[in-house]
Amino acid sequence: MEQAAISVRQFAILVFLYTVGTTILIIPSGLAAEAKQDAWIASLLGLAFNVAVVFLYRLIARSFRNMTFAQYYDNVYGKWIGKLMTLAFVFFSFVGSTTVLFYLGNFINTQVMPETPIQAINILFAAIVVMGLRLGLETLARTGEILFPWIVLLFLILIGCLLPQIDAEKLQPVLEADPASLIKGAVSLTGTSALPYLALFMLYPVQVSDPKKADRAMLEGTVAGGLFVVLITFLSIAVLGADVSERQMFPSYSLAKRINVGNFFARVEILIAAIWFITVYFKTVFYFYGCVTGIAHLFRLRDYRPLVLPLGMLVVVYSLVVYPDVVYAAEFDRTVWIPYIVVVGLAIPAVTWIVGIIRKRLQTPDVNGQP
Amino acid sequence: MFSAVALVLLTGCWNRRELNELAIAAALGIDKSESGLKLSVQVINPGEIADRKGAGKQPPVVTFEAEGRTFMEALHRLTTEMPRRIYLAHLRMVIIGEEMARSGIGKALDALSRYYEVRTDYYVVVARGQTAAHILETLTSLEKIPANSMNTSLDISEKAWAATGKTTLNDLISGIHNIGRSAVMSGITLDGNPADGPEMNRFQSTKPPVILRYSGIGAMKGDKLAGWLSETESKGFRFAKGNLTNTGLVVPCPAGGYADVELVRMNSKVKGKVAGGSPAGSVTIRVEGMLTEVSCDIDVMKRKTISRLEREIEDEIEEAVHAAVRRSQDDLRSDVIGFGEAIHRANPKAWRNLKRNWPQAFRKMKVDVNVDMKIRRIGTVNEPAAKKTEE
Repeated sequence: MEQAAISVRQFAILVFLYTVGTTILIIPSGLAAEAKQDAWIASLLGLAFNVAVVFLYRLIARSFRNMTFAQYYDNVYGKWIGKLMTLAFVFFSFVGSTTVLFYLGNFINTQVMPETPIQAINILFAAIVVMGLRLGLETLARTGEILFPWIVLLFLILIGCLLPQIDAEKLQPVLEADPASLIKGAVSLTGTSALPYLALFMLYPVQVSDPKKADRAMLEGTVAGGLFVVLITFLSIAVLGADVSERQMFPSYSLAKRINVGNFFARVEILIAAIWFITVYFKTVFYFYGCVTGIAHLFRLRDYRPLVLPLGMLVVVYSLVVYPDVVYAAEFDRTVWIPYIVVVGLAIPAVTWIVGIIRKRLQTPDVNGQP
Repeated sequence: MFSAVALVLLTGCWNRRELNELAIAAALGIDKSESGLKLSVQVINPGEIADRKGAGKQPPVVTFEAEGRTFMEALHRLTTEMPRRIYLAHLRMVIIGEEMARSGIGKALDALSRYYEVRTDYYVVVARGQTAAHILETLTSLEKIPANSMNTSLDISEKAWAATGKTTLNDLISGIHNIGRSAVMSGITLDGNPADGPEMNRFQSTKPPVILRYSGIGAMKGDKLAGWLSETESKGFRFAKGNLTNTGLVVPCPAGGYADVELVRMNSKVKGKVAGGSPAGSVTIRVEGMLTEVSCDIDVMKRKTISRLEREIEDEIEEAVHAAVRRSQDDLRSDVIGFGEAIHRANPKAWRNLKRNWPQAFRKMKVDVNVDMKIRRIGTVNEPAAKKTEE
């Protein structure tokens, strides 16, 4: 497998994009439903959770500095159980990429082009995902680096144009929501942004040029991406109000619709939507990367590339199977996704890490003992 | 291979809307009808809007009507009488017939917030004592498209006249769900015989026989129109809500006659608290203004005269706000100024109990109004034109 494909800076940007993708589109509404006008506090709490998750992941990642997560599984559990665990990981990243792809298609279908079949949108989008992955990690990382300033620019435009519309009264009373709903909101945020970092374990830390600095980069990306989400949530509440944010499918898009500078600079929401397209692209790509490299590992392929196109086709098909419709998607996210991601993204890596440590302890006397 | 290329190239046009296949709706009217609702659309007549020869023979807008059990059914039925598909993204006004407004508008508004094509930057008003259809049929002068005329007129009069106010769909929907702050809508009515409204010929006269006019603010209770605030009450309401500019205020002079003061700056604060288990509210208003007309014999160069005028205006505003509060408590029973929300902001715990029977608690609530008025300038002359010389 290729080594050290991406620089530390590129990795930080990728983590940022990965954190923001889909989260910013769907999370503010759920947060407002849980915590009302305190949604932004819940998102801050979610950011804190994200940072906690990153610290845990760093700890775990220290045990496999020069291998991928799949190799680490083999190392800890041995060949057979290791492969089974990798299979579970592949399943997770596959589901992840299909759901994210559905969200993109659904967003375009709901807000922009309702009569275009979602298949057409998903095929087009998946085509660039496949293209990106066939070109390799390095190309993707550089693409991220090139697109990052544009996202920042669009974000600044969005914030700058909405600042005058902020209504402090909409934020009051502060801290009315009870802690339980704040935590519930925060967990849903972490569940869509930080816990899916698990898929990044296929390239972090092994593919990053300087694994030590990669830890820091991951934290930077998480905090920057988290703040991005916090700001969007804050704006949703302060500009639209809690009740309107709650009613919207995509509050951040409604925010962009509110932009109106002197009746001249208005109706630019679709330009702002470039933020969602770009970030969702990277989220899909890295979920999918986890999936194809996982399979490559299972079948001991030297290169994952031959898998990209056929699996890409599967992703398009399954993006409409995991979520047959919007209501199903919302219900799934509320009831199934959070427990699932907590088990897959938190419990399993933690257990693996502990098992790895125990095995290491048991093995230290026996220097040559390879399981 | 060909189909792959075609797939990529054609998806963008899947949802295409050619400009010449669209009928751009400038305003929508919703009236109650036996089957459900009657939808009227004011559609822009593109040939008449462009500045070119031959324009002006036909009216700039055309209206169509259709009935339906639901909003969307009526909208789709409209296609049976017009050659183009209605395009709603440029909607400027939504007008709701008074009868419809009194029986509840929640159901009719859902489609407007759900349908992807509609934006949320238009205003919603009630056709006061009228059907929305009549309002939409009326042509306006100065501004060719009546919907634009209504839209800008509301924009301007909201600031300069104070007894109107603009309401967007989001304001309305949050008001429906929020018992601590009910929504309001301005009323629009027409002066003259409605049958003359659609006639192009009337523009041959400099004084059109039918005009559209905003009149008063309607208070909602839930999604139903509860009643109308009078002109004074409407002004009081808008003073309590703040953000007025250029509004004029007339004050009586001590020795007969009137003086006129134009508002330059103002800000207001609605507060609520719970004292001894019962809610209380307060409205604090600070106003700065300048003298624009003195049609009586006073010496405006004396500080004493000015402070007397200031007191007079303070009393006037205070009375108007009190009138608005009283009306909303006794008659309309709808918390339009938003004292409930103010209490919610100030004391969320007490609000949790209070909101269960807020309509009753609101009626008994005591409201303090404090107005502070300063006249900073007196205009470009110092002596009133009506001043009697003493020789």
